[in-house]
Amino acid sequence: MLPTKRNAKHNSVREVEGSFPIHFHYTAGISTEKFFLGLKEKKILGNTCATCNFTYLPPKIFCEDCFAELGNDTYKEVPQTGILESYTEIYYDFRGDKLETPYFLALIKVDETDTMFYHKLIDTENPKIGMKVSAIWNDDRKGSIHDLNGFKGI
Amino acid sequence: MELRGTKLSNDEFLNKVLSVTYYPELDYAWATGVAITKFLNGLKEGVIYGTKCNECSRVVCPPRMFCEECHTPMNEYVELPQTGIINTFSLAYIRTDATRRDKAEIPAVIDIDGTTISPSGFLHLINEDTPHDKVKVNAKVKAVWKSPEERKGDITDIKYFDIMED
Amino acid sequence: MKGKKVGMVSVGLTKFMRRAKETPKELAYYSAKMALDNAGITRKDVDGVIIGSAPDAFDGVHQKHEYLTDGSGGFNLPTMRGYVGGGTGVFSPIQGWYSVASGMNDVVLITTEEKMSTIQPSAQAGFLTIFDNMIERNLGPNLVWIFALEMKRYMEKHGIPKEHIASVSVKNKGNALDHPSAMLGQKLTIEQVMNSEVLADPVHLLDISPVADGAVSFVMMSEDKIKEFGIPLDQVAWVDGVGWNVDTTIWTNRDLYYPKYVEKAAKQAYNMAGQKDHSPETLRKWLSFAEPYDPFNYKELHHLEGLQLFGKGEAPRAAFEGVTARDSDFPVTPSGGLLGVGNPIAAAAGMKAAEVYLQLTGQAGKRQIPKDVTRGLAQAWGDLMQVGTVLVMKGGQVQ
Repeated sequence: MLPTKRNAKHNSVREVEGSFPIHFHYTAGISTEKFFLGLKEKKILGNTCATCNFTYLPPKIFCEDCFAELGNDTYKEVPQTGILESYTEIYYDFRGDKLETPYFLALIKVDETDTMFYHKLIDTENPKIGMKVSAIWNDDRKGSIHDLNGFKGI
Repeated sequence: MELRGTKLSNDEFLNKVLSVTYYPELDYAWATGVAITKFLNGLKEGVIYGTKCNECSRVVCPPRMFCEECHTPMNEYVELPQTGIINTFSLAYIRTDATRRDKAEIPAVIDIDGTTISPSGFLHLINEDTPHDKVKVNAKVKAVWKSPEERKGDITDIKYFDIMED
Repeated sequence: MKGKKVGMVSVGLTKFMRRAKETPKELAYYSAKMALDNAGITRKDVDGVIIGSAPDAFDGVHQKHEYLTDGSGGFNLPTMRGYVGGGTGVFSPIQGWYSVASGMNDVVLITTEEKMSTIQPSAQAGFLTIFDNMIERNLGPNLVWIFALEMKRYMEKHGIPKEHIASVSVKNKGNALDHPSAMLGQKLTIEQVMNSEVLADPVHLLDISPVADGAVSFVMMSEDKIKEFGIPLDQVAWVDGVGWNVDTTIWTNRDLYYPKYVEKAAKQAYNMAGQKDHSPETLRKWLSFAEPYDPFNYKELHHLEGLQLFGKGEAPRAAFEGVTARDSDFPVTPSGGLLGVGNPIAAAAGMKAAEVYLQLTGQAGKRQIPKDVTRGLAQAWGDLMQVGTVLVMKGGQVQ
């Protein structure tokens, strides 16, 4: 079933309407701050657990498997290319409104990493799982996930 | 033991370290359900309803659809008096959003007359113009209503409770 | 005692902070790793993970257990989250106990975490969402109102002077000066507490614990594993009894002067430990000390009465007279409590359970109770004031 905007009111049921007057301020934290600062410099930073020979992207302060702490010396720049592992085309926004221009979200295995990276797939006419993709940068970089516009099929 | 954690000032937290701010766009419409719909519709008519349990004979307020003790249906609605006693109260200078007010509002648990357990009633407000030395635990109070035109089936259809003079 | 014998063998804590730079899962990692290191084991030795965290709204992450899993060491392991509001931090080690006592797991890693700085503009705005939406929210309540109403009822019922209650803030914030996690240890006078800003009479600013960010972890294991790892018994605290209870959710239909649900939870724990005499004098000898939940100063006293450690209405005078000081007959909240160490909800009650472990194993440093301690209790309380959780532990060499 497609998501629909909530607009139908049933007269037989009484409702109390409300919203939660809150918002959230998330610190990027230790590892994601390093990652964001890297993006600002047009670098994609991962980090590697030497024991498990496993590279995380985005980086983490710990290896989720052996639970070793991944310190400053574990970070490294990874290539700006990767493989398209999966994608989906988005037709509706969060509110259930149909988008004028659908867009692609993708899972990308960035080269020399062992995790999936989640971002937009852009400027790609005929996406195919297994195709090579390359990072496209935003000219106005502020240290956020939007410093990358997305990945483009090569 | 060397304990870890990086303390931030409010300025560092909001403006210096990298962060993401998110405003959730969520609205809710809570169905008021069987018993509270009856209660709210009653308020619109200027009536305070409770319910009676046919199993344990308790009369309670606010009304519920089931008795939480017997776990049996509770469907006998009882019109209760519009009076009660202050079970407990506070002189509150802090609003919902943690901002302060100069004049206290007076939230109280009102133990409604005609119920058979104590306390049994609901959270409401005592008239905030009442001199504070008159507001006491166990003081008798009565409901003061909005006009019938203003009432919409909400807890605020009762404007507040007034202390009854002896 | 039912089931297999279960011991707590280590704890890990972060600092408690008003605002942490670390993400919730990074805080969880700090405490979880520290608990593993202190136990001398690794994640590979763990076969079950338990996560305790209070409302998702504070960290701003829905399904916080899923989000916290990797930081808490739960990757590829059976992981669960129990949630009973403020009662969670003591409930999590209770879950640790039953998952080992049942034979389900041999070694469990437990993490309690909260990052309350995320929610804006204030934690109060999030607490609004726990009120009834039909008949309470439109009255514009603040969570402090509820505590004020309960405190007022308690004081009226027993004729308690405010000074007696204020003495708990002085004691706990003083004790917290010696706690390395503490964010608000300070030397105060009763007058300073009494003269602090009135928020909702009778609640003043210094009657309340501060919201915080932090994490606390534990390792618990079966007796067989303790032997297998060669963990010395002086580093072990055995679980002696546990209990928890929930009262009616219609809080305006409950006499707030006395926490019956705490009484029921406590008696369940005492009976499980084989302690059938529940008179205050006997219990204060049987237990060496207690860490009751103290988000507000009066709550420590209210809970001491529910725990049967003092008669109804008798705890305030005892506290005022110094009976519950760290170096006195019956130390209460030697840690400094939520009032002094801070109140990152689930982690705050976790800190109380950790204090019982640290005191029983002689690792409490400057906070170590001067007399011999053989048995201690941690208790927490939560939801909309109707959940009680109780954990009793005894020293590793206590029969």
